[in-house]
This record gives sequence, C-alpha cells and structure tokens, in this order.
Amino acid sequence: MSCIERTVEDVQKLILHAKLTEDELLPVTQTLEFSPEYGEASQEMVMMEVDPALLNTMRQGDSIVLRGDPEAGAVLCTNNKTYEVREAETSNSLVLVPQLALPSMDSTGERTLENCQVCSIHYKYLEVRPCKPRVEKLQQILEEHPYSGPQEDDLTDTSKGKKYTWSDLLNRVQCSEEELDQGLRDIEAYHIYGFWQILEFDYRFKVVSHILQLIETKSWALDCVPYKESVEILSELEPRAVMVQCFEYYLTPTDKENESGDALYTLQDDKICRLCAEVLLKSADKYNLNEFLSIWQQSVPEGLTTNMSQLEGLALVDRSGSADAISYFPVSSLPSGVQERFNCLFETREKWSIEEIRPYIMDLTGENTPVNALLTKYARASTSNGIKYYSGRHAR
Amino acid sequence: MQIPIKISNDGSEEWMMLELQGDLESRTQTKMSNKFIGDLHFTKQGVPVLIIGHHILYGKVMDMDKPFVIMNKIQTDTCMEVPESDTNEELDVLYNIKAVVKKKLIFKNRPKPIIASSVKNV
Repeated sequence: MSCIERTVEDVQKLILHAKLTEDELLPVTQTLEFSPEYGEASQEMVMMEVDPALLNTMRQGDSIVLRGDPEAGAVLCTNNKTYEVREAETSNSLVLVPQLALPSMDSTGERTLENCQVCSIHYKYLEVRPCKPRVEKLQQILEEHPYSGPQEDDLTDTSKGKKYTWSDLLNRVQCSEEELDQGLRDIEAYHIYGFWQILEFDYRFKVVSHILQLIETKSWALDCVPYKESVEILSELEPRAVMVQCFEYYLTPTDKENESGDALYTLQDDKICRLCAEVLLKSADKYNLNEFLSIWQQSVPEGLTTNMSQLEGLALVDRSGSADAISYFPVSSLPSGVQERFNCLFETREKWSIEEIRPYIMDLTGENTPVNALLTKYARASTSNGIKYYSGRHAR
Repeated sequence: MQIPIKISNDGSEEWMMLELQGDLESRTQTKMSNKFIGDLHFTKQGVPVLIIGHHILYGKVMDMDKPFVIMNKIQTDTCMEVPESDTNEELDVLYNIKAVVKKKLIFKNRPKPIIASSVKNV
C-alpha cells in the first residue's frame, strides 16, 4: 500500500542520526505519508466534538438532526435535547490518520515497518454545547392561523395564514421532538385534523365555558367530573378533538371513578380563575383594583376562590394613583429577546420590585442565568423605603 | 431546515489523530498526495516519537474527554422516507458519521532539530 520506497534500513539510519537507539524503541515503526486522495473534494470531512453521552446516543442509532435557522446559529437535536453548534478554530494541525495504531508495550523482535496514511488535516471543528430549546418562536408561528371554531373547516378559504403539521414545526423550530411536545403543551396548542393550532381567545373561552356550564347543570362537584360522560355531551357542541384536548388542559385526572366506572377529573382552579380574569382584563383598559377583584370573584364558578397570585405574568397593578388600578399586561405579548424584554418592561414602568418583575422574566432564565443574574446584568438596583427596586441601566 | 446525522452501517471505526503545533509543509510546492511525511516510533515507555524532515518531536498519548466524530456530507437526490416524520421528504443532504476519534497523539514540545553530518534526502 505504501507509495514510497522506504526500507527498514532507511528507518534505522534515521534513528541513528536522530540520536535514538533501537533499544529504547518498540519494534514497530509506522511510516506516515499523505494518502493518494489527499486534498481531493471527496476527502472533505467535518469533525465534531461531542461529549460521551451524545456519542452514545449516536452509536445507538437514535435520531440526531441538525436544525438550522436563517436568523440564529444551527443546533443539533437528539430525541430530547438541544445543543448549540459553533465552529471552533485551532492554530494546531489536527492530522487524521485512520489506521494508525498504538503498539502493545510488550512487543519484541526485529524492526518492522507499517505504512499509515494521512487522509486530511483540519484546523476547524464543530463544538456542541447543551442549550435551551428555542421554542419562543412557537407562539409566534401558531399565531399565524389560530383555530376559531368548526365554521373554519372550509378548506377552500386560503385567506388566513399557514397551518403547521408536526413536521412543519420541526422544520421551523430549533428543538428536539420531546421539547417540541412540551413546548406545545406549554402554550396550550391543539392537534386539530393533523395541524397544530392555538385557539383564538374568544373561542377558547367559549369551549371552556361549555365545560363549566355542564358541570353546573349537572351539579357535579368540581373535583368529580366524569370524563367520558362529559366528552360525549360536549362533543355535540364542538369538535370532539377540541373538546377532549381542552378537557385535558383545564382538568386533571384523579384516581377515582364514579359508579359507572367513568374516570373522575378535577378542575384546575388556578387556571380557570386566570382565564376568567383574562376575559375581564381584555375587555377594558384598566379597572379600579377593588372593583376588579369583586367582579372577578363573581365571574368564576361557585366553589373556586380567586387570588392575586393567579394573575402573575398577566396583569399589572398600578399603585401610584389615588386608587389602585389593574390592567392587562401579559408576558406573551412582550418581546422574546432579553434586552428588548427589559427595554419594554422599563418603558412600561420605571421601577419594579422583584416580586413584580419576576413573572415577566422567568421565561428568560437558563441553567446558568437565574433571575438574579439577569437583573444584575440588565437592570440597576436601588432602595427606597427599605424595598429594593430595579430600573433600566440607562434610565434618565 | 433539517439535516439528519446518520451513523454508517459498520458502526463506526475508531481512527487516530495527531495534534501538531504548526503546519506540515512541503519543501517543494507540489501536490501533497502520496508524499512521505515522517517516521513514527514509540519508546518502550509508550512515548510517541515523530521524525519529520530534520526534526524530532516527542509527544504523548491522550484520551480525549470529548471524542470527535468524523462526518462527511452526502448529497442525495432520491426520495427518502424520514423516520418519525409525517411525510416523505426529499432529502438533499445528510451527514454520515464515518469514524470516531477517542485518542490522539499530541506533540506539544518544541521540535528538536536533528543535527546530522550526512542526512540523505528522505
């Protein structure tokens, strides 16, 4: 295989010249040369640094996909994790010699030569580092075409935006499949006739109201709502797929069954109260706080108790006027970029206490950046009346 | 846009890598393919010794904390069914993992020149 005429004697002469001795060396010498195809396009290879866990995933033949995006760097995704991919450069030469062997320490005998070929030399390689799934886009994408009810099942209407299937989403969102699944759950997405959609707000409230009304009509206890019976009745009002998923979003299973063997579910109190608050808040610019609290309590099903903590990330209380006021301020309407988010928050309100600001930056935190780290980096702290406040770094 | 990374059928081989400071250059400006580079020896203590041109370099064998996978890009025009996907997609590109590098020979020490009275052109 060797392309050069190099003999054992040639090698031994060089050993002497280099002031080495045969005695101190193991008997096998590997002569290195460039392969015949060295430098050709067919030899173009990419090197990627991986951690042992990722290597294992690759060896098991699990799905690994690179997902690109025109605005952000590429990511690498396994079934359940996302890694950011960056190109690293080194001033060292990384010389690939596929067949080079490490000799065994106890080999003896006459000197022999083995030929080894260098197939390529690299100065760049890809580094991968675990990162958060880039699911912020998901809300935005699904807002292109929210589902507003069965009347829109007219497939000939192309006036609205694009609808996305699971594959379409994987093409647009840089995350693994499991993370996509969780992301869709987090924004309350529905799988309707093969497409993933969020419900238009009014329609969503309509669907949930059907459930609440049924519970009231049947005088069921809020933690004893029979699954099958409910879905059967409600599917006459709205498409079954929508009803079933909505049920699962707003109620949780208990371990109990009723006498007919039907699984019993319980209302998610906080979620229902929050939804009712959202309906009220959206319909007016702002409310007198006390009036709001009163109307709100009256609007929720009997047996549920409203609580300000249910409004985190949804509403802002303004205590600067003569009477306290509350207005709609959902975190989902704020920019997803960190600097832009902080800019927006400080434009809305000059000073924030930590309890006030935390719900509006929670989604920006990461493994190494908890809330405090974000505040240190993007805000300026000050104290007033013993309370710590945060404001913009470049505030007037 | 998605590009799958697949591992080749024979699992993946383990290849070796040398890490050198500086570049391997040819004395003449001709193509590098088929050209001789140098002799690689190992001492009885397992220390790798590389003789390239007029230099001798001592190195060491290192286990890599983070192994490298070596991939090549494959373009295909055929319609391939992608597992775990709802639709058949026409894939143009995929990366194929040919090998893994778990160990490298790293030569960090300064090369020592070989001062020889008569070194033939090797």
